[in-house]
Amino acid sequence: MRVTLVLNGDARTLDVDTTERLCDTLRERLDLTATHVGCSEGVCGACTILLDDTPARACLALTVQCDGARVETLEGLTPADALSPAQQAFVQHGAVQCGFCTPGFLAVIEGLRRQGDAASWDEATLRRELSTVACRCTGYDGIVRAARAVLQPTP
Amino acid sequence: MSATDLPPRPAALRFVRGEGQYVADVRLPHMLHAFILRSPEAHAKLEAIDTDEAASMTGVRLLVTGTEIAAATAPQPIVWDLPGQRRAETRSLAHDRVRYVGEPVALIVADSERIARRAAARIRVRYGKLPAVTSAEAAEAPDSPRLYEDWPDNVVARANWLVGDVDAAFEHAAFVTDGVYISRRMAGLPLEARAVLAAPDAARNGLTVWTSTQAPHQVRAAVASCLRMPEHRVRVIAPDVGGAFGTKSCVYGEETLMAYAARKLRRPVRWIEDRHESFTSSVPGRDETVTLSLAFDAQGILLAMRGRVLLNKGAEPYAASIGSAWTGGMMLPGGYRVPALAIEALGVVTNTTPTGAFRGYGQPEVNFAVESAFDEAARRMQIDPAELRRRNLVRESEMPFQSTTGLVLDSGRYHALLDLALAKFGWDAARERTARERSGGTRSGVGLAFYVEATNMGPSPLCGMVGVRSGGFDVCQVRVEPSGQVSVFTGQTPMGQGVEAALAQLCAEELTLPIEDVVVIHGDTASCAYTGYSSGGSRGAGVGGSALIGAARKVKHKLLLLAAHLLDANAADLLLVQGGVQHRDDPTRRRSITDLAQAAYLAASLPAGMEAGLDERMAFDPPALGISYGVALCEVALCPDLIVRVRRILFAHDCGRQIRPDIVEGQIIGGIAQGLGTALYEQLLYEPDGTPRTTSLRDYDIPFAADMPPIELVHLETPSPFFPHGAKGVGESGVIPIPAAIANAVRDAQSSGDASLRLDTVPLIAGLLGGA
Amino acid sequence: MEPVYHAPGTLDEVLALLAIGRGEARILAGGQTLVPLLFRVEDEPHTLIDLRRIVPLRAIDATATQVALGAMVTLQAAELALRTSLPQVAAALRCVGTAPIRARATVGGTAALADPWAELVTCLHALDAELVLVAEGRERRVRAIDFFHGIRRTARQPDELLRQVVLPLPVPGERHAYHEFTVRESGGKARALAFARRRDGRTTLTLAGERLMPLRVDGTISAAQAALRHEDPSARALLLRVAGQALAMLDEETDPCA
Repeated sequence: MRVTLVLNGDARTLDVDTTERLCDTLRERLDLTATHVGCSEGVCGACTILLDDTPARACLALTVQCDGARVETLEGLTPADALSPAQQAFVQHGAVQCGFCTPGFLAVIEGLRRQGDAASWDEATLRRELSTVACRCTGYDGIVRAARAVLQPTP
Repeated sequence: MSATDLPPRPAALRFVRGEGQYVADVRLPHMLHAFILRSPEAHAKLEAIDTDEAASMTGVRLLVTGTEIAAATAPQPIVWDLPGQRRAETRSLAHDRVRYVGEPVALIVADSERIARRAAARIRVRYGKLPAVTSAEAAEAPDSPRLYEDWPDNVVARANWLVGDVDAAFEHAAFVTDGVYISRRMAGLPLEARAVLAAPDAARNGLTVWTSTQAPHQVRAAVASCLRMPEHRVRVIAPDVGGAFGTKSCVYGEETLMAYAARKLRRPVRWIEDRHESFTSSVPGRDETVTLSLAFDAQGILLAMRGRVLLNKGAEPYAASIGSAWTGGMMLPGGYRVPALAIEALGVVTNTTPTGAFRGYGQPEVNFAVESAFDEAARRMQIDPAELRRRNLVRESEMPFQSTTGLVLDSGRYHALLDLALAKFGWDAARERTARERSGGTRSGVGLAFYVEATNMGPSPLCGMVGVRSGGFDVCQVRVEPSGQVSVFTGQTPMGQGVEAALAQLCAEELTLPIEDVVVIHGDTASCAYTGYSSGGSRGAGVGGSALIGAARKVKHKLLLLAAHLLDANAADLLLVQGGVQHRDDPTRRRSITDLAQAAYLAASLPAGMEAGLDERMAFDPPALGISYGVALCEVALCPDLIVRVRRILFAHDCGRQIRPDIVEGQIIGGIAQGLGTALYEQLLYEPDGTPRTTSLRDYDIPFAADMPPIELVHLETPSPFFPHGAKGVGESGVIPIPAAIANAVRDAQSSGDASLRLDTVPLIAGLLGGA
Repeated sequence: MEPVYHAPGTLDEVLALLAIGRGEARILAGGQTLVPLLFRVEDEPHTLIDLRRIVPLRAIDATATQVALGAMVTLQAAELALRTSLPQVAAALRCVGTAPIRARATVGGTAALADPWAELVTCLHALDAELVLVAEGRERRVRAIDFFHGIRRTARQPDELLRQVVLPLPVPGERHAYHEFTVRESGGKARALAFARRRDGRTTLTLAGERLMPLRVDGTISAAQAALRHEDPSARALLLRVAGQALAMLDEETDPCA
C-alpha cells in the first residue's frame, strides 16, 4: 500500500504492508528508532508519538490508517544542536534512567503543552495526565518535576 | 554536593534525544527474524511435531526443534550450584517433555517476524498431557506430580542454619509470634523486554551476540559452552539496556538459540521478545512463602527465631537456582540480635515459568515476614512498634557485627537513623492522629519497617562456598589516552541505574580531571575487563568502583614517577592537583596529565625500567559485603472499596558514602515504586492446571505517576570500612521494606475493623479481594 | 498473506465489500483492539475495511429523548458529548484506558470487538441502548442485551456493519451512578463495574466483572446476591461491594474515597 505521511514536517510517500504498525514503519522502514515498543497493546506508552498534534500509540495504529496525517516522533522534536526545554528538564530533574520510556513521556508532555491548559493543574491532575506512560525505573518523581518545569514554568 | 549541581549523565543526554541504542535498534545487513513457538501446555509429553507445512512457506529460512538442539548443543550451564543441588539437562528448546506454559518448543527464522509468526501458527504439535503442579506447597506433597523422574521429589536444593538452643528459647519465651507470610510471584518487567541479535563474526571465526543483559561475560560463557565453541570466539555486546531489575541477570536459552541459528544460516538472526510472551518467557521473581516464629522475653528482647523460606522455583532448577531462598535464609536475622535460630531455605520445581532474580532477591520476602512479626509482637506487648525495633537492633558500638547466620554487618548507626526517621515523619503525632481518625470512622494508619540490604556482592570465597560459579571480584582498566583524557573499561553494565556516571565521577576525582575528560566503556566482552558476577547484587559502584579506584591509583602512582623524572624532583614531593602533577613547594614546577601522557606514549624519555604507555588495571575482590540499611515509614487510608491509598512515605537510609546523590535518589525512589507495586497489586497468577492468567500488561498492574505518594528521603552516610570509597550499594534498598511498611500500616488502619481480612500475603489485593 | 486493504469513501461501498467478504473481511475502526490481534497473527483476515473516510459515521445526533453515536465517534468525543446529558456514562468512558487510547478508540470498535465487560458495553446494557446494524438492503436495531454474546461474539452478521449506538436520555427525575473497581488509583482494567439507574421509581443495577458478562438485576443488593450466586466467592464479594457503592452514589454524589 502506498501512503503519504507528513513525518516530522516532511511529506514522505512510502509503500507499506497492510498490517504494518506505525511503530514498525518508523523503526524498521525508516530507522527512526527513538520510538520504542514496550508492550504492543497500548498500555505502557513507550511508543507514544504525536499524530496530528495528539499523543497516540504508534503500536496501535496501522500505517495505512495514518495516510495523510502529520506524524511527529522524538527525532522531530529534537533540535539539531541543542536540547528542547523539555529535554533539558528531563536531564536536570533526574527524569531519565534507562531511557526506554523517555520518548513516550516527551511526546505526551509536548501534546499537553500544545493543548495549553496544564498551567493551572494541581499535582494530582498533572500526575493523572502523566499516567499514560509507564516508567519502571524512576518512581516518577523526576518525571513529574520535569513536566511541571515545562508545563508550569515559574517566571 | 546537591543532586542538581552534578554534571548530567552523558547517557541521559543521549536518551532524551532518542539516541539510545537498544538491541532492537541495531541493524545488520541481511538480518533475519526469529519467532519462538512456545508450549501452551503446562506439563506434557512432546509426542510429535509436524513442521512440514511451516518449513515450506515462502520466506522461512530455518526451522529447528528440540531434537536437533538436544543433539547439537550442550545443556545450559549452571550458574549457582548449591551443595546437593539437583540437575536437569535443560536446553534452549524442549525435547520429549514440556514443563511450563511458555517453554520454547520450536524456533522459526524467516525474512520477517510476521512470516515467522505465520509459520509458527502452522506447526502442529501433539502433546500428551501430564498432571501439573503450580504451587510450591503442592509440589512438596509426597503425592505431587514429579517434574523430573530421576529425582526422588521436587526439591531442587536446601540449606540450613542452626545456632543455639532454639527449643529452650521458645519454651521460656514470654511472647511468641507464628505466621506464614507469602510474597506472590511478580514480574521484574523492564520496559525494554529482552532481545537478542546474533551474527557470524568471520574475523574471529566465531560469533557476535548483542543481548539485553546484565551479565555479558556470563552470556559469553553460556553461548560458548552450549555451542561447544571456544569462549574467545564469542563476543557479547550489551548495548543500552532498557531496565533489568534482575530479570536480565541470568543467561537465557534464546541467546544460545540465536547464536545457533546465526551460525547455521551464516546470517544475522534477531529475536525481540514480545511483552505478551515475556510474561512466561522471562524469569519472574518472589513466589516465596516464609514461615516464621519469633520468641521474645517479657522485655521484648528477641530470644530466638524459627524460619522456613520456601521458593517456587518454577520448572527448571537453573537461572539463579534457589539463590533467592538461600539469600532470604541468610538475611532473616536482618539488623537484629538473634541469639538462637533454626532456618531452612529450599526451592521446589513446579509447572510454571522458572523464577530467577528480581530486585531484592529474597530480602523483601523475609523482611515482610520479620517486620510483620515484629508488629504483631508489639501489638501483643502493647508497646510502640518502633520501640520494639530499638530494643533489638544491633548497636553502633558493636559494629562490625557478625549476625547469627554469619553475615557481617559492616557499619551503621541503626538507632540514630531510626530516631531521625521517626522525628522527621512525626511518628508519634501521626499515630495519635490516625487513631483519632479511626475512632471517627476513617480507616487510616501508620506503619514502619526496618531493613538491611546485602550489597557489593562478592567475596569470591563466599561465592565459592555457596556454589556461585563465578568469581565475586571485578576488574577495571583505566587508560589515560595520549591526549590526556581517560577511557575506563569496566565489566559493569549500565541498565538505567547510571553506574557509568558513578564510575566516571570516581575516576575524575582520583585523577583530578573534569568529568568530561572521562569516558566509560562497558558492555562488550571484546574490549571490557572480565567480570564474573557482573551487574547484580547492588555491586556496580561498590565493587566496580573499588576496582576503578585501585586502577586509577596505579595510574596516579605512575604519573608521579614520570613527573618526578621529567621535573627532576623527588616523587614524594609531588602532588596530583587539578589535572597535573606539581611540586608541593613550587606550583610552577608542573606537568599536566596531557604532558605526562604524551611523554608516556612517546616513551623517548622514561625513567629506567618504566613501561611505555599509561594504562593500568585492577581486580578488586571485596573483603566482605557492604550492608546498607534504613527504615521506611508510611501512612495509609483504606477506601470503602478497599483500595489502599498510601498517603505518604518517608524513607531513611544509609548506603555509606554517596558517590552520586542523584543516582542514589533515583534508585531509592524507583525501588519504592516497585515496592509499592509488590505491596499492593503486582502478581502473576496461574490457573490450577498451570495456565497463566497474567499474560498482558492490561492484567499486570504496575504503578503509574498518579499511584505514587509524596516521598520524603532522609540520608545518613556511614562509610563502609571495607571499600576504599566507603560506598555500599543501594539498588535494592527501596524495594525491601515497603511491602512490610505498607502492610503494617494497613494492619494499623484495620485494627478496629474486619479481623478476617488476610494481610499476610503481598500483594495485599490478594487478601483484600481474595485473589481477585 | 497480507490482507487486502480498502478505505472506501461511502457506506454503500463498505456494505458492498462486506457482502462479498463472506466473513473473511474485518472492519477497522480505531484499531485500538484490532491492531494487536493483527500483529500477533491471532487474526488474519482476507480483507481489511477501514472506516476512517466514512464521515457520517462520526456523527453525534441528539434529540430530546436520545443520543445516537456513530460507529466512528471516538470515546473521547463521546465522553465530551455526553458530559451534560449522560454524565455517568461520560464518567464511565473517562475510565477507559488512557487519553491516547480514548482519542482513537471508537464506539463501534469497542462495542463490536472489545471485551464484553468494557465500560461502554456495561453502560449500553444499563441504559437498554440499541445498536443499529446495516447491511446491503437491510437495517435492524438490536437491544444491547441481545447484541452481546460473549468475548468478541456479538449478534452482528458477517455482512453487517454496526453503524450506530442509540442511548436513551434520562426522563425527568431519572438518576444514574457508575462505579468501577480498579486495583490502581490511576485506573487500568476494571475488575468490577456497576451502573445503577433509577427511572420512574424503579431501580436497576447492571454488573460486569473480569469474567462476568454484563448482568442487569433489580436495584437491590439481595437481587445482586441472588444473581451472582454462581460466581467465585471473592469475585462475588467484589462485585457486591462495587454494586453497593453505585447504589449509594445514586443518592449522594460524593466521592466515597475523599
